[in-house]
Amino acid sequence: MSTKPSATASLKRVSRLAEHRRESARALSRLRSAPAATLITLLVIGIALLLPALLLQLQRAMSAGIVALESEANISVYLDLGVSEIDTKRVSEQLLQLDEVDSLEIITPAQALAQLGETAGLDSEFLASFDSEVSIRSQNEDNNTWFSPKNPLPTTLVVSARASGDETLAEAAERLANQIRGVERVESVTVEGAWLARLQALTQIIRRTAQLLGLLMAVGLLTAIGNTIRLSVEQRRDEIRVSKLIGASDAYIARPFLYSGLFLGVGGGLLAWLLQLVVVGLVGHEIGQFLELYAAEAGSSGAFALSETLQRAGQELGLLLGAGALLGWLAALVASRRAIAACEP
Amino acid sequence: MITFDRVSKRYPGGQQALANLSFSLARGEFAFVTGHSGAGKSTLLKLVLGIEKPSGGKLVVNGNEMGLISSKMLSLHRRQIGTVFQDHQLLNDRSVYDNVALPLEISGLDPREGKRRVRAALDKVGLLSKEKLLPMALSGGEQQRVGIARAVVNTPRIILADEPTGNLDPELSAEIMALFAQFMSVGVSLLVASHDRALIDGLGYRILTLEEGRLSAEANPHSAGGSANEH
Ligand SMILES: Nc1ncnc2c1ncn2[C@@H]1O[C@H](COP(=O)(O)OP(=O)(O)OP(=O)(O)O)[C@@H](O)[C@H]1O
Ligand SMILES: [Mg+2]
Repeated sequence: MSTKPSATASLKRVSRLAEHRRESARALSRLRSAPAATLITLLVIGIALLLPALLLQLQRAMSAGIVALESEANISVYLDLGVSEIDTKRVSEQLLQLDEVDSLEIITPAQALAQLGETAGLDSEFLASFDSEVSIRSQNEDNNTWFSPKNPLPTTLVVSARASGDETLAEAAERLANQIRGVERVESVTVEGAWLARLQALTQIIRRTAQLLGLLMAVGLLTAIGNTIRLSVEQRRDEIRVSKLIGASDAYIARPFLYSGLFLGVGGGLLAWLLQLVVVGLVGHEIGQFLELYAAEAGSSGAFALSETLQRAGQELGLLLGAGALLGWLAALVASRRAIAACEP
Repeated sequence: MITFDRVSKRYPGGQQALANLSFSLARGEFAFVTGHSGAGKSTLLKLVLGIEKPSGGKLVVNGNEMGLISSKMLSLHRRQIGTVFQDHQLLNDRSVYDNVALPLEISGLDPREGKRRVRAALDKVGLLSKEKLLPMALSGGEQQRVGIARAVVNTPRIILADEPTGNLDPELSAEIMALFAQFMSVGVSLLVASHDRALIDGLGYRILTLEEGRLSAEANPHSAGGSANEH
């Protein structure tokens, strides 16, 4: 008869692959047998992974924009009011001699006024009145200069700085600005970097927040998945007890539960990725516009193209799935080991 | 195969279940353990399986000292023992077939190979036609026979049975004993707890009688079969 000990010699073992297939199938059916708990856990994982992922994406988009902006650190050099065209030429030639100056653009008061009109939406007739040679005379002729609506804007030289050595552009611009302040006919100098520094600081804050949030979420996830697995083990206490009596090791009993944890983590990661696509689809345009405002201030456009980040979607997916899988497996390992050890025959 | 050397077992509640118990069971030997209810029969089997640890003395089973066995070794140890439990211990959400296949699955046997063995074991206990049913759909005696099939399916070195015929009629009980005897003849050691004196006295195997945890009498077989006694 087949159940005689002599049959032990010809014992044909099942392949590891088949064993894993059976166990993962069992894990799936266990998850399906408790659909509510499974769905809730998946949602918790998905949302917990979504938040840090979104923040990191925002931070990445901003950093990319900042790098693009940094390549154009500009200095605005305002000359004395009423400076002559010849003096303006002389000053700009003097500045172009400097090593740190990459390029230079002259904005006459008239051009500045036109630009202002464009951005402020003032009507051209009104603007033209500022530029007219003829002053509107008041009744008191001696005081006519008071009411003279002459163009109040100074001549501006927009200087692009060039970094040398391992100096950053911002540093180069600051040093150059100090140098220019001493030049004759120069009224004041402004480095267009303050807002950039602010944006950089904001980016740092967002990144730190994402990291901290990610850490907290990881702890939360371990707890949530661990709890689901623990409940699943406890539901099968009888089965586990009997299996132990028949000689199943704790590690053997744990394996389907490890698969459950893995599946929950991967499923949650996938959900987080899909949610992220939805969120970026909904508010990505607004974020892009917000960032474009900064870009416009620096005179560069399209620096914050969010679509570029979307191209990294595949990479993001891998990261989320990986994080989910690792956390799910780890949580299941710890939770199932404890719960299974507690099921004593 | 199994050696009790002045083994005692006291439960945490203070109940002395076994006291100073010494005997040994050789490879291929068949012995009954009998005695009144509460005499310690189940406790004795639990010690052999490692469900309980001896509180005194030395118990060696299949080369393992049960007082010192690690939990890792314990599962390996149990895989070499087929056990029929007094309360069946079947999985109620798995079919009769899957219940019997469980020890093979745990041992990692190829399912196709296993199928033949499960069928053979079910055939031996007369349940082949009910392999698809859940244990709940079976009578007490049928459930007991599922437990018996599960105990023998993996060709263990030792078979432990706690009142395996408690719910069976005399005819079926005799059949089960004959099944066990087949295993004895191929070198399996059997330790069967039973208080059915009418059944076990007629078989002529070794009988250990417990009384309040002590070995009060030992009847040795006159016939062959259990003659490989070690003492
Ligand atoms: N888990 C336990 N905790 C405390 N005492 C126990 C435990 N299990 C058994 N006992 C006690 O140990 C003694 C022996 O019990 P055991 O189950 O071994 O008897 P038995 O011979 O199998 O009886 P039965 O024929 O009724 O099955 C009994 O007095 C019982 O009360
Ligand atoms: Mg008993």
